[in-house]
Amino acid sequence: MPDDVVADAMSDAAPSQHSVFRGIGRFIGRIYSLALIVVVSYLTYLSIDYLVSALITPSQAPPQVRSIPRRMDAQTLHGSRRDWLGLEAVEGSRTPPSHYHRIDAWIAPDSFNNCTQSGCHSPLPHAEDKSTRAFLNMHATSMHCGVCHMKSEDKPLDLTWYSLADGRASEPPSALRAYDWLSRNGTAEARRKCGKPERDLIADLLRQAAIGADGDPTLTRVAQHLRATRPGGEEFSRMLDIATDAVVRSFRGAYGVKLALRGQGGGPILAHPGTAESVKRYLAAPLAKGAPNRAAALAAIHPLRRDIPRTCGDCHNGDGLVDFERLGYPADRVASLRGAAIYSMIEHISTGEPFDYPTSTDTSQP
Amino acid sequence: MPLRSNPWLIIGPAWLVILALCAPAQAQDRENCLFCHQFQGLSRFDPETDRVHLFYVDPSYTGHLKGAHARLACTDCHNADEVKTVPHQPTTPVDCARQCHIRGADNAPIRFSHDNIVDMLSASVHTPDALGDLQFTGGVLLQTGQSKCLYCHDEPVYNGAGPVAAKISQLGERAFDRCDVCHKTQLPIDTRFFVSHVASRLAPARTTLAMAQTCAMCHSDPAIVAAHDGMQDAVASYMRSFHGKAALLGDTDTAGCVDCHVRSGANAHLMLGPARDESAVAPDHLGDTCSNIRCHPGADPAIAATAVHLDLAISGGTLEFAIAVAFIILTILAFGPTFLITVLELLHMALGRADNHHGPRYRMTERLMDDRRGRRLLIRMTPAQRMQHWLLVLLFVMLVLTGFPLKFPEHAWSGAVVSAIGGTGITRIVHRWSGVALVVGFGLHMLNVLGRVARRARQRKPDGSIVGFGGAVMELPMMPNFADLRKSGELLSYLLLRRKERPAFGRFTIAEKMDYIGVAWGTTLLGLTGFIMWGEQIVSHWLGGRVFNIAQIIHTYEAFLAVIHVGILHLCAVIFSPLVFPLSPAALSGRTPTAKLAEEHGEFVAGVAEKLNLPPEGATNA
Repeated sequence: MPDDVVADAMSDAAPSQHSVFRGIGRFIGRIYSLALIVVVSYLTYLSIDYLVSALITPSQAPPQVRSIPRRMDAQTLHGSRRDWLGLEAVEGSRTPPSHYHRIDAWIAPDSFNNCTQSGCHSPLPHAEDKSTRAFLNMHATSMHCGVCHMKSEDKPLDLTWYSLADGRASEPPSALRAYDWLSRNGTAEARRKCGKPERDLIADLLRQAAIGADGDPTLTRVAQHLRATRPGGEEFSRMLDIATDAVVRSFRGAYGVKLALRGQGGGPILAHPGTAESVKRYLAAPLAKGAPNRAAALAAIHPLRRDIPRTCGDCHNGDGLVDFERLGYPADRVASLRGAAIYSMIEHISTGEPFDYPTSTDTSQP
Repeated sequence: MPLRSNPWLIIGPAWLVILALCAPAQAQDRENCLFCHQFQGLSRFDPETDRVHLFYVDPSYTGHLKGAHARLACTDCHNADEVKTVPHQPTTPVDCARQCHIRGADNAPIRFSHDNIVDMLSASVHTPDALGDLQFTGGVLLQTGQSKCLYCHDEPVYNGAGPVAAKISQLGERAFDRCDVCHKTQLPIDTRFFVSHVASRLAPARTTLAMAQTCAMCHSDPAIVAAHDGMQDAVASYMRSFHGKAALLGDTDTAGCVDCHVRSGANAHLMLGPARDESAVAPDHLGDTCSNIRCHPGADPAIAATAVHLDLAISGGTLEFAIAVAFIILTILAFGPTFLITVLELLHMALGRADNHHGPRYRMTERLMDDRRGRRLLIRMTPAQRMQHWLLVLLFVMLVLTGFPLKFPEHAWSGAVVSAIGGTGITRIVHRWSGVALVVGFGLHMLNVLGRVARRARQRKPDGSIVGFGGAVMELPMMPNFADLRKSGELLSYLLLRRKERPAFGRFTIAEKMDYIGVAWGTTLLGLTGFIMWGEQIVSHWLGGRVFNIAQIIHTYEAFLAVIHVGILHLCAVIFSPLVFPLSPAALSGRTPTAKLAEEHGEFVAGVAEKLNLPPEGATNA
């Protein structure tokens, strides 16, 4: 700060000229001094408070140690794995005690699904039918509730992918696009023609696919290795084989994007329109099952609800409602999703008749 | 034949197709359970119990042979009769001591069981009875019938060859290719699994921090701690120790719970309480535990008196607590007066109040600054002093950057700073050698000062008497004297509006002199305690182990005082004060801004004016 301004700021006697600028400078100097008093005092308070409280308050283990999840409860469904502090503090941290198996990937929280974000439904909403609930919940990682539960008479269904990052319409998942690229470039001839742009494109798709799959370490590593190879070379071709295998293994519904019915503007339908107020009212005074007004109240907050939800067979058969090709699924993945195997298994389970699980190898009993 | 009456007409062929199509079907997934269980979403939420039932199993665990259980079939642990139908029957919790079938190199099953661990636990402090009785804060952790092993264990994962076999780690997959030259056909063995297994088991199964997380499950649980007489939150106090802090900052080699509580080479399942003579932490053995070859080799067993689980808040009445209290009082006494003067000075600036002599003083200073000789004589710090100051700045910053992450290791910035420096090992080296440089620099500075004092002591005053050592010391420009004391009182009176005239200080104000003495005091104390902690293997022979508790307390409190003094008050004075913002030029050129000279160093200005035979108009308030 210039000396004359400082001197003016400090002394009423010093200024020899009275001007607007000098007045402003003096005013700023005084305000600055006051602000500095506040900052210095606050920092001093924090320091002394820390010293005293650290001495008189018994130690507590830091969050990195004590905040690892102890139970798999509702809270864990609303955050990413990164939110579980302890899990990020160390590499390969343990899982909650009651769950033995490692959780290296987690269900991506959907901040734009109004059904679950409103507080009405759990991110794993299906709980009643033991035979199907887990299978139906499995679809919640890749589909919005509305695909099965909202009215739409289109055939095929007018669907769009939407991003879990911003809730907007999105391109098909990177994993599917990567697989599509790998399929189209499966021959030695095609791979030889690849240059740096092609190499960078597939490496980037794999990296994005890894992010979508909760940081899938295999895809991440493959993307890194691939980017380090010479396009068109033998090592490049070998890495593409490895990438193809890794991408196929990553088709587990965690893509970083989900399917939803497409609205009139082209965006995804993620909520029942115009129901915010009625949802609030209902949540403030929920009605028990059997209450006389319950059906009407629920109808008011679900104007688009289908009376009978879609069933597995509506999509998983040869003439299903979903145009998988248009949504970016590669041909053999489409064949698998539409094939009789899945359809038959699910249809059978849904009829409530358990069946023995065939195994490829006998397992000796103890 | 109706399909409904014979579903296998569909399901049988369907499964053949599934088994063929299912790419993720792993070699060890003999029942093809992963066809469904590889999906993260295969799960449900029970709102009544607020529990997520997650049926997901990471397919890469078996696919990439990630751990010791990777070659087990699901039904080696789960009852095959209960899971062979879809949907599955209600399942019996897994018994970790049941017999399973490991597949050998020739794919022949080898029977194996963990039942020997049950015997070990029965002889340890963690008996099955003790584990079976745990009442946690917020309710139970395990479901009825679940194995108590799950309190500490989850799916075992190989840590990787990492620190144990760096060469293998560097070679990666190629290491196994080399093994396979012989071991693929002639001497068939799954080299990848074998090497991973052996290399991983040479290191602890968990890193230090992961182990602390596991132990904290019980030992930091308020309900468990309250239910056990004499138990304290052992993990919390551990995390405040050097070992715990290093672990939080990413040091995987620092001592963890098992390193101290399990005797060298013994099995962790045989952990014993301190009351048992054969325990690693029994009074008779604790010294050996600390001074073993991996930890503090060469240290006296008395080093065990260092408290790893020291929690000052519950150590009232101990010497350590008393020292901590003394340092807090010292901090307040050392920081408080300067803080008060700083705030009052700023308040004066905010109010626009100046003393009656400010105008003439300012004009006199301006006149001197316009004169070439005057400008030179008004330089308050010589080039050598400025160079020493910047060296001190550099070392101070280095010491703070490398030391304060250890004081606040739980904060994200600490980990980021340590990572940026290169990890805990390099941070430790930088901290120690910066400390050495500071102490050496301070020593040289003091030698220089003593030389000057010695020379001056032999000289004579104008009255012919010898100056003497005491007189020479008192003449040092940074030495506070009685006049400074008097002027400090006058300054306070002035700032409290009880006096109209501001006292005029000489070349250095009392605040600057106290800063200098603070640096001398702090460097001595921090250097001494730093060397004590660094040389634990030698010092423990002379001073025992408790001295490390005391050294750590003094070091941390003194460092904190230094940081808040410099970080809040000194920076305010030399950077943020409106008199010098954005940086006092004194630090670069030795010149002090005219306003600041006039305001704070009136006596110095008057002295220069006298030398130049200028009338000391308003230069002093005498």
